[in-house]
Amino acid sequence: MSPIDWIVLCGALALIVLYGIIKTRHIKTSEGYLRGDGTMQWWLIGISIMATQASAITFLSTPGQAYADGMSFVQFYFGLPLAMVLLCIFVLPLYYKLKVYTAYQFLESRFDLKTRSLTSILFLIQRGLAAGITIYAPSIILSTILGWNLNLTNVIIGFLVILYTVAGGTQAVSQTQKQQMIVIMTGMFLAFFFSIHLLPENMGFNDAMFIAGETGRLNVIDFEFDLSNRYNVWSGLIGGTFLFLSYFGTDQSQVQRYLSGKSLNESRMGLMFNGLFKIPMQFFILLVGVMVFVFFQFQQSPMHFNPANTAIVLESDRSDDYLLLESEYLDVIAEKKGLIHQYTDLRQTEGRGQGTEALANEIRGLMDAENQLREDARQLISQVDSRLDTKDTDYVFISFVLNYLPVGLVGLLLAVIFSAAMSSTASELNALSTTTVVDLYKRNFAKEKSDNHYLRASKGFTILWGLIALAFATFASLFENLIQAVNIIGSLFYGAILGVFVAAFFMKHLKGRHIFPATLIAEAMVIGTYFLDRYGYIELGYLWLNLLGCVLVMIVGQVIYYLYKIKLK
Amino acid sequence: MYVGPDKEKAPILGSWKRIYIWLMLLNVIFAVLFYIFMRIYTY
Repeated sequence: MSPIDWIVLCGALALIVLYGIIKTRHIKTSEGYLRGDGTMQWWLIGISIMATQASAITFLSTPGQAYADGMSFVQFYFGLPLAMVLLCIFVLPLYYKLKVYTAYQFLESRFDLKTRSLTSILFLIQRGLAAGITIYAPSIILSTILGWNLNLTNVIIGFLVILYTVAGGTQAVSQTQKQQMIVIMTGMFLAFFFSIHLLPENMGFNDAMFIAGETGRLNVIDFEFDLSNRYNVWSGLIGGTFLFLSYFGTDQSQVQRYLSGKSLNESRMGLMFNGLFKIPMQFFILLVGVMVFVFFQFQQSPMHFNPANTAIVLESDRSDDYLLLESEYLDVIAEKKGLIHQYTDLRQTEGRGQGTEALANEIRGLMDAENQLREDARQLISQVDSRLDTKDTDYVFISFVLNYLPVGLVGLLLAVIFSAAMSSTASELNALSTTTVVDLYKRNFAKEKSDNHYLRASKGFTILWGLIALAFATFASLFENLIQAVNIIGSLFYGAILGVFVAAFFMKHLKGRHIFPATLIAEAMVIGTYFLDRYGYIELGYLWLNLLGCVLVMIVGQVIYYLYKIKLK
Repeated sequence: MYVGPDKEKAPILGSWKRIYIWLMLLNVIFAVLFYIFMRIYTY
């Protein structure tokens, strides 16, 4: 990295942190710290919601996903606008009416204190672990590719976030997210522009899209109903709606964003903003990935994008095998490059016809060969060291940024990744601290203290959760497949939380005495199911645990309701 | 105590109905545009 890149990166981050601290220095009450004094305008709420959801991994992984599989991932978000409308109709008015600080506070009015406490504890476990991963995931990629110290990268991200989140609470989170989104969108637009600008001379966006189309990268919409296909219109509309209802309706890191609105209508508009711009934003990020894919068709792209893995294989006794694969790979991509040029020339002069179709078929054949060689390389890496993570799509976009973008822009794009990591982590720490103070500390342990006491407690818990997240991020590298482990832990608890909320809204006859034991039983059953799968008695993908937990809470709650009824008779 | 939306006092959608419909309509338009975009560049 050049000194200019360092100046851009450090300057952008320092400005954002300072802005957050200075802008919120007037906050002196717990109401202002936890709910932002209800001053947030709709557009700021919308930006804040989007920045919370988009973590660093969104900007590292999503373009890589488009590079490898095309744009079908955008369909995953098709249920989001519907979820936003449903939240505006059913959930927001209720939260406003009860003047809650957290989503779990509502559960006490609806059920009882112990249900509220149990649900908030489940949230704290799940989100506390996730906050560590939000820091660790980009750190591991940046440290691998730039040779930075992993722990130092973790500490820098964590420290900067803690600094302004502790200082200004909810308002600091939202105010900095505004700046972070400006950095993120500017960086991504420039990356997009340069991916077109750096194409060979006679080529433009239109030509690039034809190449992407012929190689199956523009599979945006798939109407076929297929349960084994993860992304199609139906899975997005049905599964996506449920997923986003639970994420935006019950996850405090999101609920806190829109509860800080000036009024119910401002919050509604904030959610509408998200419902309108989320899909185009994801489409654009995926399009950047597709452009990077086309760009790499004219470059000597590496056979494997994770340089650390490649270095390990080249130092092992299998290096000759790897070099042999690589020479085959280079032959294939050189031949493919020539054909793509021929295809573009022919299409530009004669339009699409039998000639271009024949060339496209040849290109597709070579792409299959290329993919097979890349797969062989991954297997070889696994054989050398089975602990290595061979998925290299997360490294595609950052490789493009570091090796091909001009000086200055590299620093800006790194600022994009840092900003995204910080914006998500800040919301998480803010939510963790709020839930700890409002739902547990203030409600169960320190009921009648001064406002200043709760303000200090909120700041203290933000530091504590920041340090826990940081410790978790630091130890993360010691465990294998940690990210997956955290996703599994998330799935173990998320379903039950959602189940409690669904019962609260739609099963009006159920009371706390039914739903509290139901949640405990359902949680035990979900954990039991997970272990049955783990020890090979059944086969169930862990994502299904979300649905299982939710349905079990409702069914067991209903059964307990009937049992009470029989007993009363 | 049950705490739920106050259905008697105000209609559940109210004046927001138009905004919700517009949001869904715009998203359908996005989906159609994506589909057209995809069809232009692929057989």
